Amino acid sequence: MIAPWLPVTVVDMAGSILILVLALLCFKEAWNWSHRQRDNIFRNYILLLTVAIILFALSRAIGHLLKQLLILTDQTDTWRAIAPYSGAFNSATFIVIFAFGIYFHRSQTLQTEREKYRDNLEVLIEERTAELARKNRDLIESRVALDNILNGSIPICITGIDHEIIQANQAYYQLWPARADQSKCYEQRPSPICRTGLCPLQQISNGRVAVVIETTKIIAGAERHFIVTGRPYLNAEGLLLGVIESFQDVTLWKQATDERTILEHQLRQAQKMEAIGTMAGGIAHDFNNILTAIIGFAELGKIKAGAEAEHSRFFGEIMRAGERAKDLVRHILTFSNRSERTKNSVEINPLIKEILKLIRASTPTTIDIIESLDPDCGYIFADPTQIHQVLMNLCTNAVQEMETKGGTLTVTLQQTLITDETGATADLEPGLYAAISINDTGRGIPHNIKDKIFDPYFTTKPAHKGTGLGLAVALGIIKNHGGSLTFTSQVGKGTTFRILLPLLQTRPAPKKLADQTLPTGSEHILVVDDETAITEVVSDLLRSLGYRITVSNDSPAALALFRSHPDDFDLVITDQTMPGLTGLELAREIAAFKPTLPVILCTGFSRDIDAESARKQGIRGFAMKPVAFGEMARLIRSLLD
Amino acid sequence: MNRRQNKIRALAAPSIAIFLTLCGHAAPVWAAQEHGGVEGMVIHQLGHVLFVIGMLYPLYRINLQKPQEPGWGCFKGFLWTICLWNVIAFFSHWLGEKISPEQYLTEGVVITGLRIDSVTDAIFYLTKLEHLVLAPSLLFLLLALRLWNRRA
Repeated sequence: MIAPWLPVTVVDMAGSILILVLALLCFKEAWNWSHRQRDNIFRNYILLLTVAIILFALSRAIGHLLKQLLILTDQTDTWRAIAPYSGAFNSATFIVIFAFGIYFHRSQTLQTEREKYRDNLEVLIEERTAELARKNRDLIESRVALDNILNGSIPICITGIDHEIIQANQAYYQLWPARADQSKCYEQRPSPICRTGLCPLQQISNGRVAVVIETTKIIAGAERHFIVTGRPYLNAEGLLLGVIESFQDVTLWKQATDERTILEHQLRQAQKMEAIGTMAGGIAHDFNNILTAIIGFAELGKIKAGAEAEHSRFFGEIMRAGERAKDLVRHILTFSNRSERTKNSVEINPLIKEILKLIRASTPTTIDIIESLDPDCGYIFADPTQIHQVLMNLCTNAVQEMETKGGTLTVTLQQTLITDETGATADLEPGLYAAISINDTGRGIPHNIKDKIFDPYFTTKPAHKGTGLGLAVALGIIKNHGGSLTFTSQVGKGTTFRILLPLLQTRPAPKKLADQTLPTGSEHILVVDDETAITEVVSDLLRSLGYRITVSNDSPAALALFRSHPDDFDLVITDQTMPGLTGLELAREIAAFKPTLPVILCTGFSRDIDAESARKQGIRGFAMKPVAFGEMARLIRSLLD
Repeated sequence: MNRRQNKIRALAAPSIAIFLTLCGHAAPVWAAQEHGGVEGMVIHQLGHVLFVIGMLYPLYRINLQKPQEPGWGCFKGFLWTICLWNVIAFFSHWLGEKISPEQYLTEGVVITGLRIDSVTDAIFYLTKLEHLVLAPSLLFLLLALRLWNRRA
């Protein structure tokens, strides 16, 4: 059987052409598909596989077409020459296709894994993003909570090693607002401890725990005290970056502590003064008893000797010395605050002289005291004890200022006229004033504390030397007396305090000169005193005036004597402080027995009784020892009459 | 030894057998070998074998995966038909060697017919129409790519 070859030729040529077209279309589709996802490994693989198949199809189609064309055009030899190359190329494409074919699964797996990784990565990114968002929210909430805690707390700040304020809370900024020119801690809160060993930052840097009291000014300018607690500010590696400081305002506590210290000091001073006062009272009592005897016997001696006798002068000297001793006792009583505080007409000149006497006694010789006192300056209406206190205080301050290097204390007294104009600044009424100046040549008062020296509790002296109340009290006393207290001072040259006190326009009437003639009498007087010398001198003096005297040195015995012969006595003179029965008790007993009998109570010093209280208790006569003989004689006569 | 290695071993055995069979038909070799004569045919046939292996492997993987997306059916069609074409081409080349030149009827150099004396001659004649398989094969590939492209 013969099979025609034409169908073979037709199928071969038409098939080759169709394969060519299909190959090109496949390439186009594969290209588009792979380029829609350039990073898709499998699509790229299919593209490459398709390219290999296209190469195979092209080589085959072109080879077959060329073969047919060359045979038909009678170029069989040419085809025979080309045919091995065409076949070989065709064979090579088979191997390429094989190579691609066996990587089908690998490329698919790679793509799947890649997609899985990508999906995992996306999930991971989403999870991580969600976690980050959650952590960020937690962080924000944590930050807000920390801010709330921080801002709800006492003032806190973080200071870097370079003293730079790194962070602070609201409470801190309310006290010390942030300012561009005050970025350092010592600029924002200047304090005496800044850049010293007490600075919390330095203490923390040196490995110590810092708890200090810092005194500084806040925004309002007021000085405040804080307990500053410092803790190390560390980074994650534990490296010291600065200090965290918390500030506890202890101003009120500090003031209370200071006040308590001052009050304790005052209490100790008061107790000391109480002890001195008690001692001074005791001394005054005994000393006055002694003086009574001295002065009394001197008077008695003078009377006995007669005024013309030569040695009468000696008795006069004894009496003057006794009077000075009497003054001294009075000074001691005044100093120890045992004298009465009532305002009355006081001559200012003698008062200052008295003070200068005391100051001289206690001032070192390196300090000169100059006084320039107007003897006719006049009288003031004042409590002499308080004025005494003020002048003593100012003079003592002046002396203390010059204690180490010496100097001159100058005290002057003169009249000065205050007009409406000159008095306006010091709030003084116009009129005549006593101007007292106390000047020292000490160090002077620094300008920065001039406004504070009259403040209560302000002092520049060591703790044991001053309470800080002296000038404050002095100013109060002077103002209470309608006067003024001012000062001028130059550093290195000294200070002058000036007191103005209103002078009385009318001088008090001078005391009537006592009748030099002593009144006499013949009445019977009972003299009671535990001191024999006193009873002796009193009885001698009164006998010289004609009185009949009975003496008793034991008060219970004297009371018994009186009770046994009440009508024998016209008057009783008794000491106050006696063992067994005091003068006051004796007087009460006598009054109970014979109310009409006058009693004179004498005392050297007693805290239990004074003239006013004696009068209130029905005692008609009261005399402070040592009693002048003439005064006593007149008192007796007045009571008997 | 896992399944994967077993499969490789299963594929290796027929490959080696085919290789050894072909080696039996090769010309004697010397140190400086020449590649003329029947060697070109052997290489070409070996190429067809490799081509088939290269296409059977994806077919095997696809059958395992059983993808449901459109396009994969066409791709499988491409793989099956290209394998079929390779088999046809292989036999065409093999049988072509056995056909005596006298069986071709020619007019000059142009073949006009084939004398068919046996089944082998008939099969040979039919294998010469292998484009009837290759063209649909590429059409399957085009359809697969197009479907993938549309879906993408």
